[in-house]
Amino acid sequence: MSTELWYALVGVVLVAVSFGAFMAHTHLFRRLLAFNIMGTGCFLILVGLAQHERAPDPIPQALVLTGIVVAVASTALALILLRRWFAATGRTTLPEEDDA
Amino acid sequence: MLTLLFDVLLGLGLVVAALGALWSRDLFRAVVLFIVFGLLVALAWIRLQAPDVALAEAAIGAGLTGALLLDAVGHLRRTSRTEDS
Amino acid sequence: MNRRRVFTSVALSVGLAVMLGGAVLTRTVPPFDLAVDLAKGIPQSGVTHPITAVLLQFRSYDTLLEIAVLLVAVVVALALRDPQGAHSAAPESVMVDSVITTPVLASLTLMLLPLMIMTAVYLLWAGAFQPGGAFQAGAVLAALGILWRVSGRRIGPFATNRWQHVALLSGFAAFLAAATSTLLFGRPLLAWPFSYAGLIIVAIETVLTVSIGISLLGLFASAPEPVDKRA
Repeated sequence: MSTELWYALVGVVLVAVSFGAFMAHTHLFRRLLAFNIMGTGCFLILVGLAQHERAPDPIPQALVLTGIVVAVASTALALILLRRWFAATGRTTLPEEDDA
Repeated sequence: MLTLLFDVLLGLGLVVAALGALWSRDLFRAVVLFIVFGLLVALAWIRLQAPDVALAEAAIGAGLTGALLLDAVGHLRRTSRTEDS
Repeated sequence: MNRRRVFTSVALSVGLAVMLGGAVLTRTVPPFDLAVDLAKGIPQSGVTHPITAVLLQFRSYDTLLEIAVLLVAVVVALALRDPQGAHSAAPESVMVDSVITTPVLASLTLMLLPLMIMTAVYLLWAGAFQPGGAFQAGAVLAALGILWRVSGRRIGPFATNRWQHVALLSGFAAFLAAATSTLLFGRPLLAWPFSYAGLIIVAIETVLTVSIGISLLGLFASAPEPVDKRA
């Protein structure tokens, strides 16, 4: 097992763990954290698989660079929506979760 | 051999930091562990020979996202005890 | 958190790990290697560093759309601002919640201001031939803006001033203008002539850096005020 494949497998574990946390939590902030960690796991899988038994590949690295910026923009927007929701309703969960 | 040990420890540290960030009782502690996770991922990018991505992850992924999340936690100002159903 | 929810989450998580892990371990290696073709094309791209070449020459469409996504996020964040809160046009309203009032932070921010600007410019310039580039430089600028804001000084709100709108828009507008200007000369979209490519890339990266920095700062600064600060 090369080091790149190891990090790809670490990425797999991160995706699975954060997916489980996303399903289990109802607090929107925790779901946002889980979503971010899932994205990072996907990036690790992308670069790890592409560079497994090959030379360092700039194309998936550039894609991950783009992905990091898009992730921070989405996280910032999600936080603004979360804070407006909290200011409007005083809750940090979505209404349909209360029936669970 | 030593680099293998480093990779194994870093991978385990990543998973432990992620688990801590996802399942902490206190939201502030979760965000701090998320920042730690981001910095460890920057180390992983270095090991994957992607220094640009490491720079961006440390600055944007850990730094900026961490600042945004800390700001939000200060705003929400509650622990998970009262929120999770 | 009830047991059924936890049980299904763990089950789904384990199933996903098994499936993804199996997919990762049993993947087939593709017959081509793009990195080799990329290495052949680098000398014609105008920059030496392969990632900058990929971001701004070979896959510049992705970068254009990424800047568009950033701009859309900032526009939505500005649209969701609170009309009565700290983002109103009243100049006296200060961000009361995120301010840390220690003299150390204030003076340190003043000292860091020229250093961080210099770091950002260096990262931008160095991106042509070593790790660096517009995104890293923009992140340093955004971090500077956040420090400035947290230490109590005012930057923003980004919703009222026309020059701030121009600054937010300029990155995407410049990139789009450069992208479509190639159509005027009969070349496909974003296909810059190789003789000018280096110059165009540096110019676009400069505008991108400022735009990314201000957009990320705008995303940080557009956060709503907490509930108990209102009447």
